[in-house]
Amino acid sequence: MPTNRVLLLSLFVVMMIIGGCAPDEQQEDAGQSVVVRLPSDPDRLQPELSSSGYSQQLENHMFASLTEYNPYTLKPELVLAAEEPVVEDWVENGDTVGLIIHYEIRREANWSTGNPITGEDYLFTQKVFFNPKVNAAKIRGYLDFIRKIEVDPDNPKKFSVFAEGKYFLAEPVSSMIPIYPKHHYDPNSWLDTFSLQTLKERSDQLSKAAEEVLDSFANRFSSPEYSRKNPMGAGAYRLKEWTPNQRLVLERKEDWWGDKYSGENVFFSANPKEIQYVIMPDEVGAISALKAGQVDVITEISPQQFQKLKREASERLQFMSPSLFQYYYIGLNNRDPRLQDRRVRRALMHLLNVEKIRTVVLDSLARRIVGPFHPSKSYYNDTLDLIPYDPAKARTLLDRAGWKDSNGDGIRDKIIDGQRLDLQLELNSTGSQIGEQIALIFRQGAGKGGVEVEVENQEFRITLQDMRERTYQMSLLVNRQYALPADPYQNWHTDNDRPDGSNYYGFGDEESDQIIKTLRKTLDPEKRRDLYYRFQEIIYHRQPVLFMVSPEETIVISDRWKVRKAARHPGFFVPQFEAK
Amino acid sequence: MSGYLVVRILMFIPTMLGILLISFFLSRQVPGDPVTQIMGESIENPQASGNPFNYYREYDRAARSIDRDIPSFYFSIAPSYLPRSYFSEPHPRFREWYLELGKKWKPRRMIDSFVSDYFKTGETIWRKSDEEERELYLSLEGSVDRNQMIKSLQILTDSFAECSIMLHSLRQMEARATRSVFPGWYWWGGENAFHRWISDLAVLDFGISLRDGRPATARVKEALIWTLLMNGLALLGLLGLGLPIGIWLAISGKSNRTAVVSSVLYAGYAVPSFWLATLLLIFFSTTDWGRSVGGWMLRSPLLMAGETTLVDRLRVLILPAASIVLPSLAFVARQMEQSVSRELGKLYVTTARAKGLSRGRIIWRHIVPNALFPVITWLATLIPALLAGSLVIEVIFNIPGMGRLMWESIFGRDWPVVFTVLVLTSFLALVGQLSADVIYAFIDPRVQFGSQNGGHGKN
Repeated sequence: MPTNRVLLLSLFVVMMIIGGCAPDEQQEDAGQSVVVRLPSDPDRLQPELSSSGYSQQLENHMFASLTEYNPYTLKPELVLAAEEPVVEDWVENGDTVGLIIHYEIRREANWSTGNPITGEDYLFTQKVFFNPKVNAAKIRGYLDFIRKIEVDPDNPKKFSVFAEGKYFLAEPVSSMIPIYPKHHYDPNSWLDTFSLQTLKERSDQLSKAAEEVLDSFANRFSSPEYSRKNPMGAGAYRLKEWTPNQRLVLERKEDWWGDKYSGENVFFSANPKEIQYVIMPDEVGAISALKAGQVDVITEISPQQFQKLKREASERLQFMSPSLFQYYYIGLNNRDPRLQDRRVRRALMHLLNVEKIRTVVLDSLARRIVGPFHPSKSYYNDTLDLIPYDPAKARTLLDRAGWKDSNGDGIRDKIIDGQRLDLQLELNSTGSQIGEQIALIFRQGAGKGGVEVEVENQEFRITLQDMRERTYQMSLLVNRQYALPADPYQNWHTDNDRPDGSNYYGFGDEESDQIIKTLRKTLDPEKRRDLYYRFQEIIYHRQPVLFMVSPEETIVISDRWKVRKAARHPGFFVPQFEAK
Repeated sequence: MSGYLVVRILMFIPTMLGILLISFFLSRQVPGDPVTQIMGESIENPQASGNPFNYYREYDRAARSIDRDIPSFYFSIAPSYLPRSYFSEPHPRFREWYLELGKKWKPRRMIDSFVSDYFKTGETIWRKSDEEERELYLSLEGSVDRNQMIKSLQILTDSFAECSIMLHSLRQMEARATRSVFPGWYWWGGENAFHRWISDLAVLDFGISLRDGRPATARVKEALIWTLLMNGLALLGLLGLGLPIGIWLAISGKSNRTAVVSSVLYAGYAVPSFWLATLLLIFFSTTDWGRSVGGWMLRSPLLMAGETTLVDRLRVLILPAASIVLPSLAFVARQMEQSVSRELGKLYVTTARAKGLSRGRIIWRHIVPNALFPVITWLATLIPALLAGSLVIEVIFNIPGMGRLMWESIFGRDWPVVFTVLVLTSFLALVGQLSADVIYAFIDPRVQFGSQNGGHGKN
């Protein structure tokens, strides 16, 4: 009976597979290797060009820049730069046209191939970004101020960056760009034939042959060979293995140049021999792996899971909840006839129960904010009071603004341009769990003031498109900031209050515009602080958007490691982990 | 039979073309701007200088890289007043501008050259002009008021000679008094996005994943191995357990033992697989329920070293496969039971008994092959499903399979990957159908193809 035999045979195979597996040996090198969970696979390992936030976590340990913000103190530290950059005015024909920033790279700094790291590598990095065929629109926008770069012919370790206008971010931005090795990424010296200025300003007038060279370079540069298999940077770690969607392993370079400067600052200590990043999208799975000792660090778990885990298993695990540079807010289209009046926007703030959001939705793992800058910034204006949840006050404000319930349907209305408008507002949300809960709380609160909030769940890209076209009323948003000082120009200047510009709210008047322009030219941090303070006051008074809370990151780490809480993303600094 | 096969295989081509055409156009209708996605979607539009023309230039470059700067198809049928650039303009707002200008003014080629000069000249003007001039220049954007535009350009031409070309184009325009009610016919030839895409597909070039720049086929291949193994294991389990149980239930008749087995099966059927998966995961991997009993089975694929053996892979797939098998077991067993029961009552079984054949021989030799027909149909339809993966199970057990790949790619609008999977699954669905017919013939010699006995299929 052949069928019978086939069935028996298949059962036998199943049993063999189940029975034939022996228990696994313990993880090798347990003391040397840190295992970090990532919720999704990085897209590529090319700083400033990768689009996944997880790529950045790895790039930070593989690449190095001239200076870098200390993850704990947020003060700039010298990494590749031998000393603080010297900044002077750039004078042409008697006029100050901008700034010249002089850099010198450390003498011992070299690539793992033995080649020295020089100003040529820096120039090459900028050329990569400005090659129009490289998909780098975002970073090009930030580096727009760079006019030219001159490398000292006598000492290639020295170079100068010429920045147009007295832009206050010229120095920090130009010094925090991770540097790519020219000899590795451009072995045929293709980009040598183009000057930075040509790439920046005349790339549309190039010959066909020249365009083809740029195209070939871009294709090769973006190919998996360079972006995934063989990335090379000046950091302490190199990529050892990448199994897509499974794991990435970074290994400590044995002959790293930085060891010669060991102890100078945090960027010169790199303890673990290996950092493994494992991709685990599911939160429950990640927690199980942590409990089973297969993973050392997990992040981005929900506040509720975090608190539950803290109550259950705290003796074997360490818990950290640093406040990182991000906050939740509701963007308002101030051009909408219903939201034009400042009193209406303030009333909405009074109807938004932020305290409830903080305690219930985020399980108290958050901090309330009043303005556009994160509270950990030195120029955060802490003299401004939190705006309380106060429906009675909201009702008074709405009455005064002329919004009354004239037809008794429970929703306030007003005649604008001869038309009766109900105070009905649409709130776009991405439909995430937290987003839905916040929207619900807002909706309930608004109802108490006679305002109807309709929640529209949609993908973020659709929300963004509506905002670009200014066809939205309210959007639930997350703002992410950097350790760099904030430049309010993009989001708050009236120059950008046009389609495709990112002042989506329609905020701004002469005073605020003036402050922003002055702020961008003020190099002295003390003077800038005063401007930031005044700017926050104006925002506070005008209430262009509804600021809510800055959530804390949820990080759980195995107690095998001695760790410190960091103030920068991702909230911990793996190279400083020490085995207990 | 061979003639029949040839016809069936030839039928593949139009079917596949239809599927591709529909999915291509559906992908173009998805809301959201694909170009800004390429540029890196973010709340900030980082133009430190605030120069909008810089942004437009970047936008054009990104559009070109995904063939959004050419018409979608070989031809367009649209209102006859539309300037030709309307069809290749990637930016929705500027497409609108072409449309509005076309409604009001003619000839169309003047509109084309006016708008394209506006962008070309914009960047230079922005660099050289003061704030007032910039504002004046920007006031042209989106405007259809020709006289006002001429006035603005006259002022600007004094300082910027570049503007005179635009002024010339504007002056050449005339008001469009009437609009034709008949739609216009626009022919684009091979310079269209569909043609480029289908020509690449024809030589099996599935393109580069928008997410990480790797060939789409490489990403699909990696995921496919995991999914095939997981579903293969599950299928083996399903058939290995489901068929014998079904046969046993059918031939044993009603008894206490069969009632117990049926109840257990139905209980398994009632359990949602994601819940079962989570329970298995927690039970086997953590010490929440006492000593961890199955850590070795679970070592998630991510923790395995780079070189993974087949056994390694199968080992981590045991629990995921079990989560798929248990809830589906009742279905397979029931199918088989019903099928066998139907056969039991047929005359040939009685004849076989009368001939004195042994019980085993009757069941295995005569009943089971006939009872397998519905199972084969089911299996054939299952082939594409085998590749589709099971999203929930893959997420819970952290298997980087097809379910996760497809989900991420659809939501990430990674069309090259989506289309690769689509082409593969549609192809296999067609092959599955065909192979079901062939297997019928193989198992049952009574089944014949061709028209000799009046039609296709089994008789």
